[in-house]
Amino acid sequence: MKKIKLTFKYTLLVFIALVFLFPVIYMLACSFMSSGEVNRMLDFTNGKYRSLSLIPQMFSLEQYYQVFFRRPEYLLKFWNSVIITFPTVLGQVVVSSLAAFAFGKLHFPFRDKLFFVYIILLILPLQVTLVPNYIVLDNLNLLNNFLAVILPGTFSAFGVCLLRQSIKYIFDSSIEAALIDGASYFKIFTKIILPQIKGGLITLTLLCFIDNWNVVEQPLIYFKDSGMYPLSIGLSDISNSDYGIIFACGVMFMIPPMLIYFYGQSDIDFPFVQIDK
Amino acid sequence: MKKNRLKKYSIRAGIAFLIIVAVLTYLSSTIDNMLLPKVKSTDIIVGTLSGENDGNMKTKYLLPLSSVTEFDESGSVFVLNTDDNGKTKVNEISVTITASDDLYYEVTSGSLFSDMQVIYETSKSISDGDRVYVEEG
Repeated sequence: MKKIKLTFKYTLLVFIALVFLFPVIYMLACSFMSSGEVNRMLDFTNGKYRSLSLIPQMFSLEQYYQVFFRRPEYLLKFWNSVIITFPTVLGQVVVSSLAAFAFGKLHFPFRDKLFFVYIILLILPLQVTLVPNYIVLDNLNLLNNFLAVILPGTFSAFGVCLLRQSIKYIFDSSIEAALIDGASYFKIFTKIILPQIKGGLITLTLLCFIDNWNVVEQPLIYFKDSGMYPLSIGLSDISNSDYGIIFACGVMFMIPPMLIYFYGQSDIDFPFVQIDK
Repeated sequence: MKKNRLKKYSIRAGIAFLIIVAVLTYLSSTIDNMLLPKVKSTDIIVGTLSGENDGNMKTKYLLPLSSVTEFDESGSVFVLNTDDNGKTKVNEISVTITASDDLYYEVTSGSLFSDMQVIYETSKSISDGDRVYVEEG
């Protein structure tokens, strides 16, 4: 009976895992098909795709050849994604950890009220802040500039809230001991706080990376030059008839977040203070 | 230990991936141009073989012999065109051949204009809408 239960449980889990993995497997399979085969399969003339196949009739690297050698615009879009994402992630991790330290451990007037404002900012949906951000960026003369996406991302409230929760668990006594020993606040931050919130920092890095890697709305609104669009916009352009190339780009687009996840996988298990281990 | 190894490999794979994509991005335009059909083009000359105006209202053009694919009294030529992305493409235009000599065809066409560049030599066969790389004449 126990064995049957276990088999049923694993079958169910494998089925659910396959459902979630299907888009990735399908993307991988289609990226190794020829463009003719993909277009035949995804012929939407009757409002429905014609067939769904996971095994290429003939294994082909044509899509990758097109992306890497014949269509440099997709590689340039990939670099636009890198230009937007990497500085935003770096900026957000630095700014958020410093702000979270201030909100979590320093005492200054209106600290909690100010943090409440941060929480409200976090609750606001992105679409609500798009127009005010547009007006601010227009006045700063930053429209059609990568900074239009990087700056709002850097000062996002999400990272501050996440890391403050991590820092809150650090004992005040360790900070007081360091202060008695004559350590500056910056030294306390780098030597005591940061090593203990490593898990939180990696979690923030990963979430922030995925958030900015998949960004669509902001570049569409803030950039007039379509040459500045990141690859996420190219992939979401369903009017594009180059389905095969889109699948190959999707595989290329998936690799960086996947590698970052592998890097931080063990630390994400402990997003809060390391002493919890 | 196993986790540290995964971290190490992830970092290495990430760096290698970015380097490969960077190299491909740097070379892609070059490779792209290398793979495209190489063509040579020339300006279209407005005029007649005899050098005189025969009173016909249609503008006559002189095109190099190698630029025209002839079918009886008609033919087709390829002209250069730049698309919205700045890529050079070719368009096929039908022409009516009115005369010829050892160097030129005298043609008329409603779609041909004096500011166009006509292709007179190509490294591979081309068809309407193909992207090409223009070599200096």
